[in-house]
Amino acid sequence: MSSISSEPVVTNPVVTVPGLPPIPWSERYFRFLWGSVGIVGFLVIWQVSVVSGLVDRLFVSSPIDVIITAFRLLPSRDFMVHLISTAQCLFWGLLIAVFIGIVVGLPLGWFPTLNAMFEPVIAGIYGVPYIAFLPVIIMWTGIGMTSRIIIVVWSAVFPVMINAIQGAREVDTDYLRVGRSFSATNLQMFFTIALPSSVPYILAGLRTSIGRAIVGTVVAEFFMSSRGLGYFINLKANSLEMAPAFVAVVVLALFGIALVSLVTYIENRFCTW
Amino acid sequence: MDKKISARNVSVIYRGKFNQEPVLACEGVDLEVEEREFVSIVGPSGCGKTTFLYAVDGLLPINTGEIRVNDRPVTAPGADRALVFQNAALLPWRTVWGNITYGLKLKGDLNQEKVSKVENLVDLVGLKGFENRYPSQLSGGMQQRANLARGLAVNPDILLLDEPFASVDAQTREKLQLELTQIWARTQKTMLLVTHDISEAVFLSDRVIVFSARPARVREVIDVAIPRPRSLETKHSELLQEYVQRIWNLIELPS
Repeated sequence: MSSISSEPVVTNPVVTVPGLPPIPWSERYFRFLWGSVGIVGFLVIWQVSVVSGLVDRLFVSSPIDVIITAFRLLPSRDFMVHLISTAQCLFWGLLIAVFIGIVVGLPLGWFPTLNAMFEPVIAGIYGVPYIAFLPVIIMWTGIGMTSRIIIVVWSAVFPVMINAIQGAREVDTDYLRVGRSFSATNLQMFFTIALPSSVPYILAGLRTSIGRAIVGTVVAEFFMSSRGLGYFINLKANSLEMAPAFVAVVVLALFGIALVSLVTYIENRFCTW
Repeated sequence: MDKKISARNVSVIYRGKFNQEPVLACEGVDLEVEEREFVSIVGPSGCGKTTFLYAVDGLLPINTGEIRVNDRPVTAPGADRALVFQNAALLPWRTVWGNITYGLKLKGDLNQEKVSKVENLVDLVGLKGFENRYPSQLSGGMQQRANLARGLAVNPDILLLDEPFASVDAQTREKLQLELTQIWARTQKTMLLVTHDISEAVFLSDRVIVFSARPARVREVIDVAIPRPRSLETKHSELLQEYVQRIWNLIELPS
């Protein structure tokens, strides 16, 4: 069977015509360039304020001190113990939070009755600052990795869950009709329509969850740990060793950037539509 | 009865979203469609023609009367019918190929033989080379081609088309209309089309059914005695314009 299309189908290929000017590099790397200027500028102002005595070196350290300390600290086994502990706590906490968020969230969005029943409950729990439960969790599970992971899960689960609920709830009516019109079973409706349609919502929730998880990790380490970057920062700051404390803060920031970049990668790789 | 589709005294109460006031969309609709016939339904905007089409597909329950397809009452969507949607409604996370084979995949019915049939179909609708694109990478016209192919892929007896060309530009629309007459001739399907474009209805159909304003009833059935095969010249012929004028006069404009 040949195509009945009367003329060849035209698409819009990207044609590079020789002789046309290329995009100037200042335009192509616009955000990268000015972003770098912003960061360097900030560091320079910080360094100058410390050197000029505008701020007290005792309390804020300086970028150069922080960098020097970082080179000393990062390879040390002593620091690595804290870093790994935080990474573990963050990894397991986020993994469990994402799992619970999706597995609980999608059905709560998909089934209107469940949605109506549980939404007020979830809104209520979400509204309570989880830190308020810190003493309670310590009573339940003591001080250690388990209680820290519980805090991380608690802090991170809601953005993913709430977005999963919204995603499953706001599936386009047209897509639902398509599934029903092709006689999809209820299970097929869920897995071929509701789930894929919710993925962008879930990933957006995950971005928020990452930030909250890092906060949760540090808070947990402040109060219920003798390991981890949060504990390390607390320890160093209390003894006025600001440079190591700042190194740990920077490492935490890098954790956040790395995890958010991972989400961006997943979005670009699997949600190109 | 050996009619392909027959509706007797059909009324449909349409309830849009959950917890919304119901609307009487159709009332006492009687109509019949023969095998391999091309029938169009036209009527004033919002008269309930799409609702009626959904009821034929089995997406909406009917309130009174009966719709029979292949002499069996319609209670749910079935393999003998496929719907071509108004807004293409391609699943954006599936490629063109994934969308076209969606119905077959749901049935777990995508064997080697079916794959080559779908490949032919992709060719027929002019989407060869676009199988791995995502719907967002297609033009409106191409999306409608994929929409049409998705319906044809499950090899239904009857294709139900809900204003499939309403959202494409005028030039593409004419081209797609011409292609649809050719696809209809080749595949020998029974087609029931809902449209607000009267000249489209006349150009494509053996019969045009004019619905009244809401609640929709059959106001008039018009046999289109324009010889086939029809070409773009037919589209702009005086004969066709006469039909268009006649039908236009029958349509009650909503007050």
